Amino acid sequence: MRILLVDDEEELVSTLAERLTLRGIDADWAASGEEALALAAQYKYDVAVIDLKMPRISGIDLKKQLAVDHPRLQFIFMSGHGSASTFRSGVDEAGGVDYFLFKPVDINQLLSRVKELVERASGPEWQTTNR
Amino acid sequence: MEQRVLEMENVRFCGVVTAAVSHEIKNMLAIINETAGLLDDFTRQAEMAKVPLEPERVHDSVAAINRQVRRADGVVRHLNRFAHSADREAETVDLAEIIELFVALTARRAAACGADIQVEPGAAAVKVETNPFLLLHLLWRGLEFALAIIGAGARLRMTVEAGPDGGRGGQLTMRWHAPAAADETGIEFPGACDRELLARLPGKCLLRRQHDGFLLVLP
Repeated sequence: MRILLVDDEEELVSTLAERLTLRGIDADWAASGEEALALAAQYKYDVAVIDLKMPRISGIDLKKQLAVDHPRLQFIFMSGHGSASTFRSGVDEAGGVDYFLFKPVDINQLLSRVKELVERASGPEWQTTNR
Repeated sequence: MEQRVLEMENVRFCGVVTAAVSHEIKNMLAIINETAGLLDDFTRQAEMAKVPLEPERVHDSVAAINRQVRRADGVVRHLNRFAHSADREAETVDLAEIIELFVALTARRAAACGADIQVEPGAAAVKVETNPFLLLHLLWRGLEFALAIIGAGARLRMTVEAGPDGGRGGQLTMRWHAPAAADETGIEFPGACDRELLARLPGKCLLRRQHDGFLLVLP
């Protein structure tokens, strides 16, 4: 399992990536949408964890672009919003999102969401190969 | 313009500023949370492997937490100054301090649009009698106008100078250098609300649009 963390708060994503690595997850991080697109072109990721508000390429625009280039990639949004309703109105235009987490992120919650998404994405493939 | 409309615009302005600041504070809390979590991870690893903690890693983490605490303190200080800007209808203010506060409150908003906003060194201690809250609101509306017409990679520069008539009063300038500025956006500046804000500032103020910015003269 390999995940990509994207947030313009470099200290946040680098620390989060280090903590995930300590838990046996391959985690890369990018401090901008541009960096994230470059990494996604180079490596195959299962899940992208993206901050909603970023300069230049917003989280929503990044998700849209990644979803076109990497159709199997799953998404989790992170946000500094105070409530689900204000956050929802921000992500509706992104064509939906699998999960969202509020900052500060609970690493155990993030891990369980990531695992859930990876299992869900690999489910149909597993069924096909076992028929 | 109706009083009620202007009041709603003032409330909206407060909402935008506090939303932006609360997002910033959330980011700092998130970094502190992850760094404290990392320290906890190191401690658990050391306990399980029965090896000592590496002092350098602990120092780095503590330094990261301290950095974020200082950053958050700066942000909260600016928010506090903004909150107190509405204390009085008029007071003597240093214009350089006002634009320093304005840039601190709006730099992230400008960055989100791919623009960079900075204060250029100008005249020392230009003091005017004004309503700081309404002045900040008017500047914010000018910034929103600028962000709507300038493209990514634009630079916004703000300056403070002494007033034109024998050094009395002061003048604020916002200029943009934008390689991809749009001519037509459908947004007017100054619009009805901007003119109303200008009229409510103490004294006879003047707001003049220029081809690459605007000038605000305060008595």
